[in-house]
Amino acid sequence: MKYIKAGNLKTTRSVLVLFVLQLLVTGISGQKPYFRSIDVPDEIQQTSITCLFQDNNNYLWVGTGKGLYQFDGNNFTYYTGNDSQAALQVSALYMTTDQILWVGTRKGDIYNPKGDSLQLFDPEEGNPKAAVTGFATDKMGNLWFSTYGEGIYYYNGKHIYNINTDDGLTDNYCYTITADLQGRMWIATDGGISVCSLENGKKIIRKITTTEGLPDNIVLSLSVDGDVMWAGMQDAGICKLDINTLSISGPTHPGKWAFGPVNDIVTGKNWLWLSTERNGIISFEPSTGTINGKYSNSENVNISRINRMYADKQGNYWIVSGSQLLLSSGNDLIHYNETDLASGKNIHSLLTDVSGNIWFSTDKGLFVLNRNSGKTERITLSKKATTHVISLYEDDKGNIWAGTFGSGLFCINSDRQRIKLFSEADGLTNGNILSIAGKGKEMWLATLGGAFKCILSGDPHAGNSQVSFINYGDQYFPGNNYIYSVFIDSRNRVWFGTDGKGISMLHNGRFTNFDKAQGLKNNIIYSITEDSGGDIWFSTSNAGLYRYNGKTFRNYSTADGLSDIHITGLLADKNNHLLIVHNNGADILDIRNNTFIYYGAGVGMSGINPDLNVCTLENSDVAWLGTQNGLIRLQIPEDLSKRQPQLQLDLISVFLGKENFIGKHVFKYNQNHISFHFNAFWYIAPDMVKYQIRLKGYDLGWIDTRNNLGTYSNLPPGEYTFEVRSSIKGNFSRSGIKSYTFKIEKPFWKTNWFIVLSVLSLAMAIYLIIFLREKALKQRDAIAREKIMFQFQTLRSQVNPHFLFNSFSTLISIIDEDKNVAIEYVEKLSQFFRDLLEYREKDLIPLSEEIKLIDTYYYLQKKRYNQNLQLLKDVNEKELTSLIPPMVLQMLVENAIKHNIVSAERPLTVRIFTDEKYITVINNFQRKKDKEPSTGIGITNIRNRYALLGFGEIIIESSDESFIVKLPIIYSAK
Amino acid sequence: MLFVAIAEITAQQNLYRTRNSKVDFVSDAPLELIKASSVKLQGVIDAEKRTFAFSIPTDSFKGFNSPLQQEHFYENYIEAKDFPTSNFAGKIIEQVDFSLDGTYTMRAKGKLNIHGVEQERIIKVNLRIVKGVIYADATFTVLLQDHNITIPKIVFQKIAEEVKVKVTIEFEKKK
Repeated sequence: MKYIKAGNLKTTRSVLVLFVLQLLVTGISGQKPYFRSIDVPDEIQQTSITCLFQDNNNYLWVGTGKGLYQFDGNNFTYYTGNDSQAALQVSALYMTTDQILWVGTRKGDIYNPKGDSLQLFDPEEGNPKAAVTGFATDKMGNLWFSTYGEGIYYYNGKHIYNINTDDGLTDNYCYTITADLQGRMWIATDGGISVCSLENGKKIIRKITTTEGLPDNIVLSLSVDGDVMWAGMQDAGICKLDINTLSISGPTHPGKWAFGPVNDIVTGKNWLWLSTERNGIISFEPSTGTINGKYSNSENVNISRINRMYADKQGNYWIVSGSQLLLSSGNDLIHYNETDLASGKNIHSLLTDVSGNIWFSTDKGLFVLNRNSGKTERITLSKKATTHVISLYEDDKGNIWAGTFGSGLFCINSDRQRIKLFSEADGLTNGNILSIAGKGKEMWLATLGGAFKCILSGDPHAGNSQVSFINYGDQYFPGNNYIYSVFIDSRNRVWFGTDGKGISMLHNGRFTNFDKAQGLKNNIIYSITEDSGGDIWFSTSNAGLYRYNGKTFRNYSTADGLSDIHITGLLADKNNHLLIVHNNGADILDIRNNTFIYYGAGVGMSGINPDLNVCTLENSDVAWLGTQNGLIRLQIPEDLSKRQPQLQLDLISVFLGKENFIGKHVFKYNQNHISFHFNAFWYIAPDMVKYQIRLKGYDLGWIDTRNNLGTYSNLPPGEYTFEVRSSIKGNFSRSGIKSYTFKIEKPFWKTNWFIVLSVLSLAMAIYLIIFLREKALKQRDAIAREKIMFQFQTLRSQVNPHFLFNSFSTLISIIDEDKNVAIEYVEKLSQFFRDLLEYREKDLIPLSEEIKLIDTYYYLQKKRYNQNLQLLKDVNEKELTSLIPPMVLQMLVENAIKHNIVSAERPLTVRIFTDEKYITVINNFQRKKDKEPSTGIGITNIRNRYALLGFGEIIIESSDESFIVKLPIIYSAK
Repeated sequence: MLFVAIAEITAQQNLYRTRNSKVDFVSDAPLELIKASSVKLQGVIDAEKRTFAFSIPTDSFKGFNSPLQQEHFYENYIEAKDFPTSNFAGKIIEQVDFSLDGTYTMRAKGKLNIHGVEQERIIKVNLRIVKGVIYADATFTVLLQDHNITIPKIVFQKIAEEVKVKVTIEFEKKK
């Protein structure tokens, strides 16, 4: 997205200056970074990429003219607004620390992703109506955003505030916003740079414009690099500003800028890349103030017009040109090919001299690459075409020594004017010099005829006698005296790598040899170096790398993280890194933590097939490699860990649903179809990443996969740990593991509590049955006892002297009056007692029989009380068949007679009647003054019998007038 | 200051003045809903300069739930005696041609002065222009804390920290 206000005049002028400057640049463009083109979806190809942002989870968000994409290295996932048909024109991207992604659009609306679409950010104040061009956050957590036309805004989570020219902003047309290390906002505008901050709620705006010395007021891009702010301008190139003083260090490039507007800036270690509208990428070296490269066309890409550049957290530089998305290592990895070097392409030897110039040899001779001019100079050693330099060394006087393959040893003096050859005549009995090492006056040669020690007693060019050669041949290297490499360590020990005899060390005149007898797996030693801690590292032809700490040898192979065991070169830098060169690129090892990173296919280093020991250090952390196809300059990174694949487990789904279950560790028995989505972010070469997964508790071992989804279906209940690890070379043993422990619950009928509960309920049920049975038995006992008691009481009561006496005195009076009546009376009396005897054994008798009993009893009492006692019965036909405990009614009537006055003045009336529920016995209440002694039977006994038999409660209602007993009607025996 | 602004604006051409206005506010607290409204908002827009100024007498709000509520509002919170007016003056962020009929949204950036405390605010306004008459409505929130309106703790539950304000105005061009 570009908003260039440039007029025609400006353009014309730029083109003119460009023409002049182009010549200058061509001379120095010997170097090429590697650009890998990323395949983008067709939909992106039809539009253009406008902005990039890598979020905290390593995903790269790609804003385009038609929506937003999320990229994981392999796949693009599309996002668009959920409320509009038209795809969003994304113009700015940012993620705040709360993991919210902010998507600014050209129309001014701002969106946040929600689910798989974008939701409009809808603040009270409304969204801008001008394109959002950038986001940044200050130290208070305010989110700032710049617009093209409305100045800038900041959002404190509640309200949005605006800063524009009315507040003192240099211009309302803002190209970008960035925060410096102090949390101040730098805004690039059409009117210069504004530096904004909030102090005690007040807007503080400082201006940096042409008045302050800014070369051009139209500032298009900003990039912060520590205390330095780089500003890219419309016409004047770039400008360096001090963020503390806000002062301008001036235009830092020589002469007039000729490459047009600087759209974007990325900073690397001692380099800047500036992207331009027409001239591709301009590479700038701030320490020297020189433009040291211009990249507009690479082998596979045309990148003359650059929209955007973006530096991610893994040291990758992303370049956007139209709809092209390119990945580069920036100036950290530069290739010099044959045409750049004007030499042959197959490099046989390599050396950095004291001035930083690069000496190298090809089939076409010996060359020096001048690092300042970028030009390559050929050094003619001899007229013979067969002179092949295969080893190079610079002595402490600045002489360059070049060992050849069969043509002896050449010495080139420091001004490259004099060249001298040493050969067999000088004592150098073997002219195949594979490696040279030296210290002070001493120099060692590794040849196909043993080693040679050279003593430099004076200027080699002064005469052959100044150099002497002593051969260390068969007596030191018996049987096979091919020496591949020689190395002098910090303790002046001389190390020799031999062809089949292991590694030898010469110290204080004593030779020590280490080979298979000491545990080496391979006796062919190619390369030797020493790390800053004094440990010796050497490589073998096919058994990887060894580290010797003075006592033991430790082997490093692919299992340790080495990507190739066929090592052709070794270099140790001063920062505890080891560069390991092999046919398919190079590994860098951090010797402190045994972390490896690999440079290969993704950066154009696969199949480099280098000769033996063709590598050199330019300075403490820059290495040069000679390959079959030219030179490579590699900046050795400080922190390797962040450049390794960043393995992440970021999605857990159940039955492939949309919901992300990350954070949930307990799943139900029917949520047992679980998928794990993981990704090892390694944008350099994502297709090289392989995974191993296993589900502990389910899988027996690791399962290899290239897919980044692991799905497990029909998991039985249990505890599991999902584990994933990644590797780029298939050596998983040292790679970190991401794991996720979870549990699938048993269905409820298999859970322990359910089983326990079931057992408990069963036990309860059994107990209850036993208990109830026990209770029933007890009850039966009680009934029996109660019945016996009742029978006894009844008998006793009926045979009680009063009753008999009364009966007999009644009988006596009747006998006189009427003999027949007396007989009837006696018959009734005896029937009454017979009934008593008959019923006493029974629990229940029909009501009709009880009524008969009552009638008998009433007859007996009636003879005594005459009209003073009235028994009125009103029993329905229906209830006559119901049941009743025997002698209950009789007893109630007897009680009534016993406790109440029965006289002519106050006759006693007992009424018995039934309704659906009750048999009611009611008598008028006229208590005797002198109570007959209670027999203890009566109501309590009746109540108990009803209760024990389970026929309900009897109801007793007593008032001044009447006494009522209600007996529940029993329709059937239980 | 506001009156100076108004005076300055009134000297210009292309001015729009309030014809009718209504301001409602709602404080929707858990315990008590307080709402009131006023029709006394007055102001002008300078269409050319995109500047505006509005003012409302703070004691012009009517329609409280009870006279006691009204008394509290005037005496304890808004302190109408000390701060007789609330004002909003500033500039419209986007370009709007007031002579063209249509519906627009625009954002007014300005200084909102309530309770004697000035806060910069952006207020989003919906406009409908019909034959030179501008019908405007806007809804925004006022944080009491922003304007030093302190509430006794005990009443706190009765007043929301945030008060919702709804403004509807009709403007007509000054002749």
